[in-house]
Amino acid sequence: MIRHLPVEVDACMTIDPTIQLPSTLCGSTLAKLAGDLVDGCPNGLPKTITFDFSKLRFIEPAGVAFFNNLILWLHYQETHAMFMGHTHVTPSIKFLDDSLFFEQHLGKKLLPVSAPRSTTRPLEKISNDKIHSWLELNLIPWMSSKTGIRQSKLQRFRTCVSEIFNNIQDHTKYDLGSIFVQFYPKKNIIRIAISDFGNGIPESVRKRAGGLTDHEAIIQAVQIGFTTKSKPTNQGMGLNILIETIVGNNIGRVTIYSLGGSVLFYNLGPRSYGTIPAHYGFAPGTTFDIEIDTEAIKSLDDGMDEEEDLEWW
Amino acid sequence: MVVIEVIRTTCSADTTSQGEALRASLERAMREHKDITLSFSGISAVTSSFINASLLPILDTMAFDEFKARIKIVNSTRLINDIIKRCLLRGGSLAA
Repeated sequence: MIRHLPVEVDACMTIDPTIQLPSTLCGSTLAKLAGDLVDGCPNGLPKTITFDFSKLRFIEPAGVAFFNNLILWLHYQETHAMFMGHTHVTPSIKFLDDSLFFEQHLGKKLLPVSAPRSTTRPLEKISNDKIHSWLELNLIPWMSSKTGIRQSKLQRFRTCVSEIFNNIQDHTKYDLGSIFVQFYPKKNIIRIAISDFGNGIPESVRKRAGGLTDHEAIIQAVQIGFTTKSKPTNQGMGLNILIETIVGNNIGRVTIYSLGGSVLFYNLGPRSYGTIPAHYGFAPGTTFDIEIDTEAIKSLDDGMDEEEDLEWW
Repeated sequence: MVVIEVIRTTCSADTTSQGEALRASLERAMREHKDITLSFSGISAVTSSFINASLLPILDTMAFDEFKARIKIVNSTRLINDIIKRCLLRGGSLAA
């Protein structure tokens, strides 16, 4: 189902709703929340929406990035997001505060002592012209120090994230993405969540391949060679490189939420992947939820980081 | 023969605009020199946007055999070369 962005505010919509955040903040629960919100405002979004944090108990990285993106999207729809139930600082509220979420949206942290945790890279809003140097100088060295994986072996992930941000720049007018990263040392997993509030993958894809559902459009977008030619030299490689690098090499999985679609890409065998579409609601723009198995990376022996001269075929 | 170092030309190999800058350098060099060595020394990663903007327009102006004969890519990595090859292969019907 295509969810169109409400553009007219009903003059009769005078009650500013309060929305209870779910106990678990992740991509799927937020997509449902956003879907219910949009469905509940058939005549347009209200001027103010209050989010109630009182029942929040657990947050995933994609939840941080997605929720941050939702608030930014509401702002650009001229809807002001307010918070309640956040001043009683529970462990989950503290996690958000340490992630600099409240600093981003309220202008300051809830607690002066809050600070980014050693296992996270705090929520950052980054423009395309800064992301690539940030990856090289911040994220990759951080990932290397946390996991013990040498930086040269992590360059493939730098490429994937760079491809996503180039995609954001090519397909959105805002040229801004949010990124949040968390390392789970006991599970040997890194979760990387990236969000933008552009038009969304399905809208872009349907300009070239009309008639696809939102799920089908997401799957189409990662096919090698499929491009909407947002730039003349684009060839539809970027999202395919992301899926092949992470999923095809069986070092993780990727979930993409965009508009009414969400698709999990998982490994099916060497350089092969399956997809599980889900029907969860609405995701403004696009959120990428990337899960990487650090032990799988360590065991990779494909020599991709080795120096060589290119041999033409 | 002339050597073009990507890191001196564009600092990194991430964006379309950087690719366009490299393409301009390559085009200038190819007008004056038969053989070009393109060095990726100091470059740890490239994106498809960069390669598409830098090398594909060059390939559009000549046969692939001439492209391979005139441009040598050195000091790269297997990861970078893999992306270069994938981009060039998608750029048209290239004889293997």
